[in-house]
Order: sequence, then structure tokens, then C-alpha cells
Amino acid sequence: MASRLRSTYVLPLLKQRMEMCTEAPYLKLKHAFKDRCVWEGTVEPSGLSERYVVRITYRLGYDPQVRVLNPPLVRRADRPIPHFNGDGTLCLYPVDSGEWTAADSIAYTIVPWISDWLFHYEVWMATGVWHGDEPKPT
Amino acid sequence: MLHVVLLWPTISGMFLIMCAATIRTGMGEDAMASQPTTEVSLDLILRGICERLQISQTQHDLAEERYHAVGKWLDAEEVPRLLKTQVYAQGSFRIGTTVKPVQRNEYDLDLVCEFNLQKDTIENPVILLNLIEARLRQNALYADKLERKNRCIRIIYANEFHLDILPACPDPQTGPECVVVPDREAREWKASNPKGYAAWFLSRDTRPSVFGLARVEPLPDQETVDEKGILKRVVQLLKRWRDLRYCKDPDNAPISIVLTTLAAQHFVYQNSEAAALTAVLDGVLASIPPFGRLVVRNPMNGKEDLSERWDDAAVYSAFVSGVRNLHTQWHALVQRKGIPNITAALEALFGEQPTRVVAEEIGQRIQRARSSGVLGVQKQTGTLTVATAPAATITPVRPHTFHGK
Repeated sequence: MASRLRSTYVLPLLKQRMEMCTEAPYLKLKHAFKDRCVWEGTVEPSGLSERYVVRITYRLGYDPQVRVLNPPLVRRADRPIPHFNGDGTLCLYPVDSGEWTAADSIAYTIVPWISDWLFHYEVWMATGVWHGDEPKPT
Repeated sequence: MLHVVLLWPTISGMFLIMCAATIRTGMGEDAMASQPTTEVSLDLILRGICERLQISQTQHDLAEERYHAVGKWLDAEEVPRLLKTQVYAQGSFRIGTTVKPVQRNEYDLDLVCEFNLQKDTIENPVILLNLIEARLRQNALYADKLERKNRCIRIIYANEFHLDILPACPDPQTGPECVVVPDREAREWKASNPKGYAAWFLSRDTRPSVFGLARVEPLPDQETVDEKGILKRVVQLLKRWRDLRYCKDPDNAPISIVLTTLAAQHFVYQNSEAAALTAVLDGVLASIPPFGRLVVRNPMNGKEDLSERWDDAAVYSAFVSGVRNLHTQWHALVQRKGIPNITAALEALFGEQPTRVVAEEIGQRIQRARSSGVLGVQKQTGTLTVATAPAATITPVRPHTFHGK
């Protein structure tokens, strides 16, 4: 999953941290190393939704990894959770598609996408249909 | 809580510029219209459910056409002057609270056929039923569709609706617009006031409801759900709950006019269906007396006990246990978290079909908001918000594609 991103510019980790502070204060910095950061916090994707504890793990220059720590995500009786990797991370964008690069701010991309994912997950749980954007069938 | 958050457009000035190195907002400058923003809420779902319970425009127009035709026939020129009548709608059709029936296809539409006769001049009220029936039988359109009921003549349009025509005579001594109608066994007169009742009901909630998220597909309706006041939607929800709860026990089901009256009496204006329903249920429960039974009168004719069926203790106790149960379930529902949990509870109360359709519609709505660049998240909570104008408190959701199987 965490493929190295080829990008002309890598947004410095300090900049990522600053923007997380101002743009997504509900996600708190849990660990900070020279080339790696972990944020955790509680997201409420809609007024009707559960409150989800999520963790973003970011190694500078690699794809950020997002996990839901609580409550546990559940599959529907008939189907596995859509857009969900075997290692428990969320598929928020196709890797290497350029939708996200290391030049992008996590606070302005990954963070809102997590809410979008969680919302569509809940609607999928309720209806069996995923309504979020999906790759166009080729 | 369940609410609509209003956020007015702000000039995203210094604050955003400070950290704007990598921002690519999905919102164009032209979207700076002063539109409020909306979040997904229980009200949004309840409103959607009410939309699904509505009688369609086609059905509404057809019903209206038929009822005018019947009125014209009963009041045609060749009818002797003494037997002239005035035909008007009463009940849910008049006040805009119809709901789709659960198990059958036919709606009930109630019409009053008011004779201009002194009630004392009529020996037996059953004569009026005979008069209506005889007149309708003269018309081939109606002759084979008639059914005689205790208090009314029914015209059955198979798979569409039935028109119940109830005879009435003016009763000016009791009050303006008061009438008397033949009672159940058609041996005596019973007090009523359908016109006054409708005016009273409509006066209980005169405020147009304000809701931010414009409906995506306007449903072809006689009165859109958005135009309907909140009280009407509360009544629709109660009636729908009644239809489901008592579907195996229809004889004990509380009748529509009683539910409608209770809702209107306990209604407190709030711009929220959920809050209004809570207030109504709390009020109804508090009004149940410890001894004897609750009496629900026509507010415009105190002589009419709308709840007379509750003289039968079994019917009354079926109502009390039903409404207690609804009260408990509803209070649990508003505390619930998680769209799957909430929709499951709503399905139990108001039916699987409308709830599921609305849940899907809300998923589509959020998706459309995303693709048209008006979806954002609250910076403090991560809560999705549809915002047609940029705001300093909202981060736009940039385009992305969920991927993986």
C-alpha cells in the first residue's frame, strides 16, 4: 500500500503538522518522529453518525494510512466492506493515480475524505449501496 | 442534536491565506451566493419519509375531479330545490395529511353532503342516506360502484380510492358551520363540524417551514412536503405509524381524526419535525388520565366526542399501550447514533420501504454535493456539510475516488 510517491515536491512534515493543527484540531498529534507522524481523534461524519476514533499514520513521502480504531467496522452479512483494504486501512483514493501526492496537505485531502468515507460506509450499512465516487468502469 | 446549521458566507480572508499554500478549493467564486449550509439530520430523513407517504399529484387531481363530479351530480339542476346540497371534502384530503395505505391500494376520501334542511324536519336520518343513494343510482357511472355503509354511501373506484359521502344537516344553534350527521346506527343525530375543524387544524401551524437543502427532485405533489407545515408532517408520521402498528388489529387502531387532533393540540412550533414529534408524544402521554379515559373532542364543536370508540375499554387500552410504546421507541431513536441504527429504528416505526429509499437518497445527495463542489467538513468535528459558499469554518472535500473492491 505504502508505495513511495514520485513527486517533485514533498510538503515538509512540519507544514503538515501545522495544517493539521489549524484545519483539523479534532485530530491530535499522537507521535512525531523525524520522518513520521501519527494523528488520532474522533470524527463525527454527520449529525446522525457514530463517533469514530481514527488514526492517520504518515511517513513522509508515502501514502498516508488511515485506520478506524473504534467502533469496529462491520461487514454486511452478504458482503465485505467496500473500499477497505485487507490490512484494515481505508481506500480513500487510488494509489499512484495522482489524486493524492506528497505535495498535498493531509488536512485538506485525507481528513475530509475520511468523513466522506465514513458517511458512505454508514449509508452502505443501512442500504447496501455505496454512493460515493468510484472508479469509472473501463 | 438535530438541527440545521446556518453559516453565512464569509470572506475567506487572512486566515485561509495564511495556510493556503496547498489549498485547492472545489468552490468557485461564483458560488458565493448567500445560501445557508445544511447537515444531514433526522429532520431531513423524516421529511423524506413524508414525501414518500404523499398521495401523488395524479391521484390527487383524479380524486378532486371525481369529487367535483359527484358534487355536481348531487346538486344538479334537475334535483328538487328542497334537496339541494353542498358537497365538500373533509378530513385528511381537506387538511393535507393523507398517507398512502399500507396493505391496500385504495385511499379513503371523505366528503360531506350537506343538505339545506332543518334536522327536526327529518324523521329518521337514514332518509338522507337513501336520498344520496337514490340520486347516485340514477347515474350509470356510480350505480355499480356503490356500497351502503352505516353512516355513509361509498363509491368504490377499484385500486384507486373510495369516496365516502356522509350526509349532514346544518346545526346553527350549536355554532357557526356546525352540522349534525346520522350516527353509527343512523337512528340519531351526531354533532360535528368538518369545516370548522379543518380551519382550526390549519390555524395551529401557519408557518412555512424553512429548510436549507433544496429538494433534489421535486416530487409532483399537490402540496410539496416543503410547503406543508411541520404539524402536517407530524400527523402523516403518526398515521403511518398507526397503519403499521395496528395492521393486524385494525379494529383497535386509533382513528385518524383523533391522532390529528391530539397532534394539533400538543403541537409546539419548532423548525424541526423530530422536536415537534417529541413534544406531541410527550404531551399526549402526559394527557392520559390515571383513571377513566382520555376524551378528545372536536375543538370546534364540543358536543362531538371524536374518541367515542374509546368507550370500549379494549380499544382504548390498545391506544394507550401503542402510544406508550411509540413514546419509548421514539425517545430511544433520537438518542441513537449511526445511520444504520437510526434507519433500522425508523423502519420499525414508519416502514422499511420509505426509510430505505430516503437513506439512499441522502447518500446520493451527499455524493452529488461532492461532485458539484459544495461538500465540506466542519473543521472542529469533521462533520460533512453542504455549503454553497466558502466559510472559514469548513474545509471543502476535494475530488477523490474511493478505490479498491
